[in-house]
Parts: sequence; structure tokens; C-alpha cells
Amino acid sequence: MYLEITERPISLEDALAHLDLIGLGGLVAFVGIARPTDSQGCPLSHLEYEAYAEMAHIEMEKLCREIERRWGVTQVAVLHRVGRVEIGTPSVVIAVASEHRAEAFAACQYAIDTLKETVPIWKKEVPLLSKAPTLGV
Amino acid sequence: MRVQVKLFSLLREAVGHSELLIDFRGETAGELWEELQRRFPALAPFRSARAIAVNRQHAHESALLSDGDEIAFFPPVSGG
Repeated sequence: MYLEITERPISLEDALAHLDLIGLGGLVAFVGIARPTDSQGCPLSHLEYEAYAEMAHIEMEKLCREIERRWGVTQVAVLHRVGRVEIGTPSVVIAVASEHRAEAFAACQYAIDTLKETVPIWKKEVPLLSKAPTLGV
Repeated sequence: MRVQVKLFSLLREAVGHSELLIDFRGETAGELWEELQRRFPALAPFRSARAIAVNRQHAHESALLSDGDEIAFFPPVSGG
């Protein structure tokens, strides 16, 4: 298990560097990328992520323990950015390696879904253009 | 009791502080929120959508507090 919450840029290579692939047969990764627009389609300048770092580590560790319990998978790396994240760059990287592909796919899906529900990290979308001032009537 | 309060994201921005030491007479996390809301009315809009952690574990507002606890209030998480 490798967990990191960092202000530095992250990459899939960073995650793979922390996995021991000897004797394993498959690797599944999820890389979350900062999207260029918000849910209304308005263009974004960048994202800003904030974490309750001490608790986020605890919650990430819990989800890794659950992956080990459910699928017997121990080679899991989770990296998450905090601070300013540029559009088109990774905000989160999860890599899971296992003997066979089925448990790697399942565990990786579980990891990102659970992270989004339980790990105390917050995303702020910063618009490219500041909103036009509202004119009083 | 005296507890340490941590606020994150929109709640931190509403209050203007990320950490507070609060002397308080209640017993539960929900009562602590009421006390905070009295001191910082800007928190009121977040009442129905805030989450709680006590000593870095997700908790309900009925969670009993002890002197020295670390209680965090924050909006629904949105990482990933």
C-alpha cells in the first residue's frame, strides 16, 4: 500500500514506482484529470483541492484494508493532489496490481468510488472568467 | 469542556478560520455545531449539508464529545 497527498504534480509513473509487480499478472489504474468545464459547461481556469490530510490518510488506509479483505489485493497506490491543479493534469492516481485482472478491475473501481465518498478532500472549481457583476434594479 | 474545532472548504471560508478552540457546555457534536452557529451565523446555510468527524473518524451529530477532542465540520467530500 502506498498513500500520498501532495502539492506536487502526480503521474501514473509515480504510482507504479511504488508497486511491487513481481509474481503478479495484471495492473489496473485510474487517473482523474482536471476537467476544462464545470457541470454547466462554463470554462474553468484551474481546480483547487483542499484536504483534511490527517483524516484523509486514515480513510485511504481504510479503503486499502478493505480491498485486501475483499479481494486479497495488497499492491495498491493512491496519490491525490492538493492545492492548484491545472486543467488537463491528474488530480488523483490509483493503481492496483493483482494476480488476475478481475480483482484488479474491481478493486480499482472500489477505490475511486469509495475515495469520492469517504476521503475528506474538497475540490473548488475556479472559473476562467469572473462572473459579470449583477446590475441592481 | 474545551475542544478543538477544524473547519474545511466552504465552512472555513464562511467563518474565516480553519481552527478554533471552543469552551463549551454541551455533550454532543450536534450541540457543538449549535454553539458554533450562534457564534458564527454565516454557518447557518450549511446546517443541512455538513458532515462531522470526531478525532478523525466520520461521526453523527449524536456523537458524545470529551475534553480535548478534535471535531471537524465540512461540506460533503468532493475529491477525485
